[in-house]
Amino acid sequence: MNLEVARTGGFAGISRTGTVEVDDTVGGALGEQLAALGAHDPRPDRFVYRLTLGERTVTVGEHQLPDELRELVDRALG
Amino acid sequence: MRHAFVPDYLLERVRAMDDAHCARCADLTLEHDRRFRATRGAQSLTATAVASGKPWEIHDAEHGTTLPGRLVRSPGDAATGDDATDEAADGIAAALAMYAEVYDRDSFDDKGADVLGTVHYDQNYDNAFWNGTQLVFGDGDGKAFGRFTRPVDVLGHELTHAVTERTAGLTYEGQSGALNESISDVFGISLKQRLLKQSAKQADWLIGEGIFLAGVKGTALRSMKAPGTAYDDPQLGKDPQVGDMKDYVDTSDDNGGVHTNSGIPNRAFYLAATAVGGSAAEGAGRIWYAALTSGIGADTDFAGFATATVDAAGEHADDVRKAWQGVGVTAS
Ligand SMILES: [Zn+2]
Repeated sequence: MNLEVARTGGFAGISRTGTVEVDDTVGGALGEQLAALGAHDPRPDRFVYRLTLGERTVTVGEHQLPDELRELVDRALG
Repeated sequence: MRHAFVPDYLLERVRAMDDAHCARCADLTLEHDRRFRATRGAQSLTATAVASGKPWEIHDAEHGTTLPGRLVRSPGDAATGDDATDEAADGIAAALAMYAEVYDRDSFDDKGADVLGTVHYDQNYDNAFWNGTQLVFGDGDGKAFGRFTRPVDVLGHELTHAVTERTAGLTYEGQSGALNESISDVFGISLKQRLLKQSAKQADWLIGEGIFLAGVKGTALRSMKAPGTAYDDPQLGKDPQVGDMKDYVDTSDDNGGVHTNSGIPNRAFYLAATAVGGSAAEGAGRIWYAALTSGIGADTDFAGFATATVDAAGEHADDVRKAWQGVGVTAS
């Protein structure tokens, strides 16, 4: 399955999008991780990530991303 | 990095900042002296007491994300030779000096708080931010973006997020978020023009000038004079900023387009600053600062802030009202 990533905001305000393929085991864990992310908490100049995995879409600030999720997101954006 | 020569304006900027920096250090030392005496009677100052009154510190994240990182420069230290460290030190010192000298504000909290800045944050990091505690700067990706410490207005912009947080506390989404963004650009550009000794009419009104590396089709990240014209590049796309209320972008991206719609109040400030005349910092900047600190609420919208600036404008009220009308915003 694919994790679709859209990054908006940041000081420059320049958007980027990308996709990373994950296998079903990782995808299952990822789905749980996305569900556990708190509500979006806007902060000045932090990147805003919209993450879509299957039917689920969540929006969070970069400061809300756990390290391993951040690595995955960076890979998606290349 | 591309440092074949040092242009005159940059040398001038560095000289201006050194002066401002020294003046600020002297001010803070005196202030600390006064406080120390007040609490400790007539005892003489010790070296330790003076050293603890540091108004800023620069740390190095060494390309990691742990904050604040290793302390690399404090007031009184010589330049380190590391561009990001020295740009952050000079820019933060100059921003503190502007707030003290023009707006009579003692650091971001108006109580003389130390300003912490961290450079070399993360890898290929195309961003800078205030995290509620300190300032953080990336080095850019080395392809499209260079160091975020290079344009001094970025330093002023980030410190101003701290000022806004401690004053109006504008909620960072929708119109109040775009105002929050714009206020950071307003005092960032005021700092840049002050260091370049430019009047509002002479200035180029570009935010983030010099941050793009060779090959990018663009001069800066934003234009306050002509929002939407700063860059148009095959890789990065076109500058999406708008400069009139009729073009306001409704989106869920970027907290409601805070970096896009900020072009509207940005251009209002450009129009006001050129109408009021003189320098942006000392002319329209004083009006905007008075409005920001006038007790406006966290959810203030463009029209509400326009009203606050007209109310604070005194003899320039008509100029300011017209500036907002010029971007389609009516002050009540
Ligand atoms: Zn900002």
